Formats: sequence, structure tokens, C-alpha cells
Amino acid sequence: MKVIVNGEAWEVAAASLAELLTELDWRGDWLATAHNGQVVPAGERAHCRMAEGDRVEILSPMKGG
Amino acid sequence: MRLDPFYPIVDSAALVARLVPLGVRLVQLRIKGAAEAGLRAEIRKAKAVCDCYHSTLVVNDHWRLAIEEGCAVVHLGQEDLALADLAAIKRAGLRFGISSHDRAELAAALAVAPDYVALGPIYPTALKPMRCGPQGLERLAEWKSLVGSLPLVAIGGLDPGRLAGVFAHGADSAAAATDIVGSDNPEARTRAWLQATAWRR
Amino acid sequence: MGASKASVVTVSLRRESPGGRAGGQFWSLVQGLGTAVLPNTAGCHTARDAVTTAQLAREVFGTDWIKLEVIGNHDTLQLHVFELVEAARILSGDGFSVFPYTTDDLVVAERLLDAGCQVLMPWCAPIGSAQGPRDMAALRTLRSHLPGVPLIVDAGIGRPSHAAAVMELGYDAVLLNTAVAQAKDPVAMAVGFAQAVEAGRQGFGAGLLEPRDMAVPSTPLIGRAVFT
Repeated sequence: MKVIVNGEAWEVAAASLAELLTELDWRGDWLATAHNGQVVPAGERAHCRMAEGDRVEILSPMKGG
Repeated sequence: MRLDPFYPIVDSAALVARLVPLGVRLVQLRIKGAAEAGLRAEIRKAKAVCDCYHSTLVVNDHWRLAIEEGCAVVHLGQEDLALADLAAIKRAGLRFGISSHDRAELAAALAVAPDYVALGPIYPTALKPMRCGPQGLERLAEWKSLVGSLPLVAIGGLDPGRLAGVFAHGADSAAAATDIVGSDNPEARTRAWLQATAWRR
Repeated sequence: MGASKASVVTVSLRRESPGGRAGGQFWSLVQGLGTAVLPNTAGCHTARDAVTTAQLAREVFGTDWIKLEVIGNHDTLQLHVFELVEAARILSGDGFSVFPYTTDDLVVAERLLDAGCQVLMPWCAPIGSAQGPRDMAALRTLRSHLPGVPLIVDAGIGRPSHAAAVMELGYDAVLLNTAVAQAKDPVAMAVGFAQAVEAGRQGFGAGLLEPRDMAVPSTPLIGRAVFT
């Protein structure tokens, strides 16, 4: 199915957000994820079901004032 | 107790907040006729501002609230003195000043070992109805000879133009009430007073 | 960071690329500093975005602290006070310690305190402008009307003297980035700022002299010699 990750379209097979991260090679315990505008804590990613057209944001620490 | 030469007397915490940041190091909060809840709030607010700016707040009359709110100094008029529990004030570690208008009142004040004494009104004043006429500068010199090294505050009808005489006749500090509170620009008056007392600071 | 003696460092969140390690490396670096971390909501234009960003930041950085920044205009980077107050209310209710980046307006400041903020971070000039305090009277008013509230000047500081000036008003701290980051020698500049902040704070606590129109001799006139 087609999903939008960080503003870009991707074709994925993942059924959950956790699987999506693995499938697209996003790794590390410093990542924050949001699914359709809602925060999904790391522990809940496996239970977050993916659907066609979902928007996902994957963020990590960066400098800033 | 060392008093700053400029001793404004104001009637609200709001005015304390406006004037203290200009460089005022000593300020009296004098509120008459208000209910306790409101008074406590005013004292608390005024104290917060003074603490922030490392200035000394003197609370007029309401010594019990002053103790409860952790204030350091109270000012007592002769009528207030009759009703004040000086033992409680001293036990709480507060310093206190007392007003005087004649030799009998001065004697009564000195008898209780205050931290400063005030004499007024030096000139005619609008602050409150006075029982006696203006004291004048000679009276100030007389008071200084009687109080010695105890700080002496001059009050009543003062403005920056009258300060040279006041300090020359023995005052350690000059109180400003109407000249500031009655002005439509208290900040400007305060700045003028700060400038005029700078050489004594 | 060490040279500045700063006790708090701000961080933000940005999109990570697949397989990316930069975020992890940066985070390890920051954790190694041992300073308190203050994530920000930079880039957010609505309360909703700021709230989501804050929640994401809490996940990653493991702190309830959040520097709340909600911008209303991309060109001027002026903040959106209404969205800011709304976001502050929501985040405070959700257990965050909100450090709002705000204007020098006393009414907005009071609304932020009502919304649950316990600290305020007013600007002294636009972000990155290096102008230094543009309105000392407004900063002084905020300080005197909110005596018990920790006030941190954020934005607009360009040189150490600006930081000293703000500390001399009785502010509790300054937050800055550009003035150090874009200096020719950032470490040396950080040292300068550390000294300026300390100098301003010392001055304020010691009882500052206010400017006078007329000269006042500092040498006593009494007892001076007369030669003619």
C-alpha cells in the first residue's frame, strides 16, 4: 500500500508502524513517530495498524535554539 | 540601621512596582483604612518586588501582617505605637521606626529604642491633617542633637529643592510622600529625587 | 557548551532519513554534556503542531521540559501569541513544564502564567537579529510586575554587553544561539558571554547606581588643601 513518510510517498507491505520502520530501515531508539498527526510511543508501534494513504512522521534529535 | 537618603512613602504595591526598579532602595507602603485580605495581598506584592530588587520595604502600621509576611521593617505613628505589641515586633526580629512631632513624643519614641525616628512636618503638608504647624529646619537640628547617632528621617512638604537645607540641618533621610504620590508622573518625580539625593548615598 | 557554563541546552526534532545515524550521534553528544536538555517546538505555526511536537520530544528526550515556540509569520518570525497561550494551556495540563518564548507584553505574560507556565522567556529583539534589548522599559516593566517569576531573555542577543544589560535588569538568565554559533571564534565568544552574564548578575545584586544628569564628586571636599 502507498503511505506518506516524512512527506514522501512510499510503497510498503508493513501491517504496523513498527514493521514499517524495519521495512524502510529506520532504526535507533532516538526516533519519535507520529501517525496521522498522533504521537505513537515506541512501545505502541507494533499495535499501530497501517492503512492506505496514512501519513507518518519519523523525527530525530537535531540542534536548534 | 542605615537609611537611604531617599525614603518614598507610597500607597500601593503597584506604585512600588513602578518606582523601585528606577533605583529606589528604601520604600514605605502606607495604606490606611483597607480590609485585611486586601492589605495582606498588597504587602505581599510589594515585598516580592522589593526582594527582587534588593530594596528595603517598610510597612506602615500593620505590624502583625508585616511579621506574618516576613517583612523586615515597620513604621509606627504615635497612635499606632500605643496599640503595637513592641515585644512581639522585637521577638520577630523586625526593625521599626517611629514618628514624632514634639519633645514628649520624641521621648516616648526614644524610650522604646527604635531603629530610627522621624520628625514632621518640616514644611506644610497635604499628606494628612496635622495637629501642629510646620516644624521647620531649626527643629530638625534640635532633634538631631537629641537623637545622636540614631537615624533621623525628615518628612512633610519635602521636594528636591528643599533637600539641601534638610540634610544640612541633620536629617539622615528625607521622606517623599505627596511630591511623588500626588504627581501625575511619579516616575519622573522619583528620578528627580534619586538625582537630588545621589550625593548623600 | 563548556566554555559558556550554560546549564541548559536546547534541542529540536527534525525528519530523519532512512538508515540515518545523524540524529543518534547528535543525541549521544548532547547526553554526554551532562547539561539539562530543553527541547523546542521550533518551526511550529499552530498550537496543534506545537502540542504534537512537544509530545514527540518528550518521547525521545525523556523530559517534561519544553520550550514552546509558535511562529505567526515566516518572514519576521514573530510569534503567534494566541496559539502560544492555547498550546501552553494544553501542554501544562498534560504535565509539561512549559518555557514559552514570548513577547515583552505584560498581558500576554500574565495569560501564559494563568495557563500554567512557571517560567517566561521574553524576547529582547527578533530571533537572530543580534540587536540587543530594543525596549529596556518594557523588559523592566515585566521584571517589576512579575517579581517571583523566573525570567529568561530569549532571542535578539548579539554581544556579551547585551546579556550583561539584561542581567542588570534583574533577569534570571539569557538564552542564545546565533551570537555564539556565528561568531568567528564560538568558544571564545561563549567565554565572553559566561563572564558577561556573571558580571550583570553581580551588578544587579550589589545595588546599581542610576544615571545622573550632574557630576557628583567621588572625592570628599572636606579637608582639601587650599594653596592660594
